[in-house]
Amino acid sequence: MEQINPAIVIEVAPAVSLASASANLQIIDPAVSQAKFEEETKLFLNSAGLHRKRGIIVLDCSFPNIKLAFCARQIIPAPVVFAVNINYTNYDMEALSVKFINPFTFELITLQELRHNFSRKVPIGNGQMRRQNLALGLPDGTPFICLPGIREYHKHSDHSNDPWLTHRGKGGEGTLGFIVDKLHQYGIAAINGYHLPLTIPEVLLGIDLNKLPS
Amino acid sequence: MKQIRIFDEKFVSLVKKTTMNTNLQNKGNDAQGKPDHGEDNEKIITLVIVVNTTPTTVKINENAPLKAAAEKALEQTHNTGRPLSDYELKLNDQVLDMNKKVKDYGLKDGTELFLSLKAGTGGAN
Repeated sequence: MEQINPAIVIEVAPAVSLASASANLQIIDPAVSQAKFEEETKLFLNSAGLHRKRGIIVLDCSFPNIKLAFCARQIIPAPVVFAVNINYTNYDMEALSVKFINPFTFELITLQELRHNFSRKVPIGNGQMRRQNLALGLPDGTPFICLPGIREYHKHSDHSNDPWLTHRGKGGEGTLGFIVDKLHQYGIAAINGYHLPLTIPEVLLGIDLNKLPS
Repeated sequence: MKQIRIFDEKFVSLVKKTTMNTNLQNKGNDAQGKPDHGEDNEKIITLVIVVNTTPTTVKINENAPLKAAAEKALEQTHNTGRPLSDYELKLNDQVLDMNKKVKDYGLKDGTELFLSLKAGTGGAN
């Protein structure tokens, strides 16, 4: 039986898979993620006035999270359409995580509570377009935006062939600026008013009480 | 008196003809871009281009195509690695044709334009 020389035994730490890492478990040097957080948020906050004019309001900003509310300022009264928590844990080894929250309590909300589809037009040939929903739900009901550059997209089993590392650092895709721009583009820009779905009430015959037989 | 009036009318007619010819000649010069009308061709305007939410200021000749301004903005904000065709330039949420000239859209000094990287394929099928 072959003996192992104890001098050359190397302890191997259990492999940590990026895919299995929890959203809150920082597995790369936190200084890297924090430096990127500070760089991107500083750039964003420098023009906070410009973003506010578009209806994007900063609710809170402290590493590793920035919380933003998106309002449809083009309609009156202007509603807070949705709010998000953008998380920098493991960025930019992993993409930024985008989760929908209640803008007042910061609690995570479900797809049902979001009540917004984040639609875009996609061509289907012959000059025809169809509407495509970008806000989808995970099995636990958590909503996410199904677009490359967002962590929840890249971690989804349907997109295992489109890893984040093929997008990272290319033209700003996946940066805070890119994500905020897409959330505004698909979540706010096309809103043009309130839609009140009305059902036609049941038509009843008018009755003259004086003519009613006893 | 009557003879003098006839002379006056002929003189006025002659002056009108001369003026018309001069105007026509000037119009011709304009079309050929003669140097004495060059000031219009050199008008520089300043645009604020917001690249993926980061604003940058770009000075551009109003006769230049918008893509020249967009390329400058990408360079200034260090957004490299993707061709310009992967971006959309918008004014008030309306997509602009980047091959058109700056002046074609009547853009003024300080106009805010938004240059965004197009999103990749995603969403529900």
